[in-house]
Amino acid sequence: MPKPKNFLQLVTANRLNDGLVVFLNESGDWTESIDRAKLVKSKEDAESLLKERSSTGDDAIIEPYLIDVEIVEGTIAPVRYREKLRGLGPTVRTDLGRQSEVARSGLELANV
Amino acid sequence: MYRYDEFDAAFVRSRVAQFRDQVERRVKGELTEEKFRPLRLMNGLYLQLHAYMLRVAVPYGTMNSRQLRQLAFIADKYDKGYGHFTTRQNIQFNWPKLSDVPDILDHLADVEMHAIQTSGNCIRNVTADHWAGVVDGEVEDPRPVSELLRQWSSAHPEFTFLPRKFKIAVAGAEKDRAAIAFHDIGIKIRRNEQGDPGYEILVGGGMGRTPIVGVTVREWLPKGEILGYIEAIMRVYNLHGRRDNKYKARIKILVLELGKEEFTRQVEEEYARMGETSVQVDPAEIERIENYFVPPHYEQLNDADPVLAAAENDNAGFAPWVAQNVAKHREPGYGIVNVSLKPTGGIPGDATSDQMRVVADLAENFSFDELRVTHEQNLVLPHVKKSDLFEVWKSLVAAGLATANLGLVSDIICCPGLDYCSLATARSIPVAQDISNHFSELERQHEIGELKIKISGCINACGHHHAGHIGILGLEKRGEEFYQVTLGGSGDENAQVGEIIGPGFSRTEVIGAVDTIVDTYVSLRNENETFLEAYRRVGPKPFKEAVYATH
Ligand code: SF4
Repeated sequence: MPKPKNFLQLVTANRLNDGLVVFLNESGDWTESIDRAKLVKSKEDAESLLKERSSTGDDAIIEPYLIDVEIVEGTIAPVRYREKLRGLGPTVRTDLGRQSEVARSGLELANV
Repeated sequence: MYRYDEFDAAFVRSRVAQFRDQVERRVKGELTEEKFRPLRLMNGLYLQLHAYMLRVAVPYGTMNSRQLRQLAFIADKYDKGYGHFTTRQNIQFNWPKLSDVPDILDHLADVEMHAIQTSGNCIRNVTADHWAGVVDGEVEDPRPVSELLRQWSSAHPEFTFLPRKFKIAVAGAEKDRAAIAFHDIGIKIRRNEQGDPGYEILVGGGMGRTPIVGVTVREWLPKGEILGYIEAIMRVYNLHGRRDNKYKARIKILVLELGKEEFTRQVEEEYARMGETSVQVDPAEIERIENYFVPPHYEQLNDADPVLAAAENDNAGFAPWVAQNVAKHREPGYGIVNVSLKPTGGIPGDATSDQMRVVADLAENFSFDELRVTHEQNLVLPHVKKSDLFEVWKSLVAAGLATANLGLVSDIICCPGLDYCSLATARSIPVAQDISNHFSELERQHEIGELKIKISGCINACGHHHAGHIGILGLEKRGEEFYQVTLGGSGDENAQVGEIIGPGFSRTEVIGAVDTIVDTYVSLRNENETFLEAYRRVGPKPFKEAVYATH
């Protein structure tokens, strides 16, 4: 796994009702858009953020965890391709998942 | 086909009601995820990469048209219009909402289906030869004993919390189409010297990170003793299985650590100790179950059919499809139709709801209302009159289901991989698609002949790569997808684990490696020698030399 140059992480999870991928934003809510995710720049902050979210027993989401991200051309991009794929949807069915919604809204997708 | 009795129906409904209540409590926040997770898994509901996934059991791969239509309905109403048929003869839906799952389970119960024991450390859906009851040379139909095992293992309290999941497969003929040697328990129906049918019992096969071919612990077991004997095996496993280490918890590791002789001794000792307390199968119950699987009322027909012969002459695509995808039926004038779910460049095992309805209609109109799911991720119409083949083929062509590639290089077994699966280390479907596109010319595929490629997206080996003539395993190396290639694996009666040929390949290199392997085989094969036969004759050396000379 490549080591990111600078420490940058966010908290991701799956939404309880439909299992879709979500990200924790600045106001402590869950968003489907990675661009609105809250970024943390140190290991300590990351761990305490995750701990805080996990210990609230937040019932809107399941299995929260931290992922490494980087800023690519001004947008937030996961470092691992697993997470890139997870955020987009199946690469073999681009008509499904987040990627299809983003495509419909005319936004650009990060390359996989 | 087996029909639920009152107990089955009431049990399944009560489980749905129970799960409905659990989902409600989870959504209200009364149950934590930690508590809920094992409950949803017991009902076949996983969390995948992008969404939930519901795995529905298709016992020994047998269904009727009503059931398949119901799956199509569920795909449309609650999912995204398709389903994925798996190597365990099940179907998976990739996008169900948690709150819809109880309704889905109710719809399944309406057609005598469920998702129980498709997950967790229990005895999973029993699988069997997909040509059961119709193939020539079968000793006995493997489905009655599979059904008996299904009933016995369903919600069996002693086997609900095993050290790990447990898979049983049954073959009814010498030719093994159920990969029994790669199961925790493999059962082969065979005759003893007196000619009586009974069971050969294999134990300790499996794939995953430690691929092992199962060993025979009993050459021949009388039919009535099956449950008692299997129970003895399960008890030895339950007692000594490595609950302390997930990677060593399968029965194969226990058999490996104890050795075949010691393991067999312990099973026989336990079986003898159980004596009369062991479960004896009531012959009347066996007969009751067997009656559900009696052959349909076939017509008395000549094997050669003039309608078929004329259609083969007049339609270019039809004859190759008949030759490749229609297998010999035990009844004269009938054929076993294999419906390929591997169109060129398609996703292996996926079927749209429309395709499901087409196959359901064909099963109802032309195959005594019966169909099968194969562990090779295709469907089967098991009893089609030869005079109906042309009609069936036309419908399949219109639905994109008539690719004449059964057992050929593009008939690839492939797990969902990183496109869906949260455990994956790499994608597997795009590799299958590349290979399928690369060999898209059917004539070339027919020239190459039987060649089974199997692809998994991680070491768990759901795509059976260890048993592939060419096996491909997707891994992650330094943040990139990376593929290890094995050769010479086989899941049939001469089961063998494939050998790794050398360093792996990047996503873009792997197709070249497969191409070189195929070319090497074609250049060195003797007349009529299949890939596997050639590999067994020459070994890995010429393949390695060719692959690594060009990469
Ligand atoms: S082999 Fe791995 S990637 Fe493929 S379905 Fe199984 S667990 Fe998932």
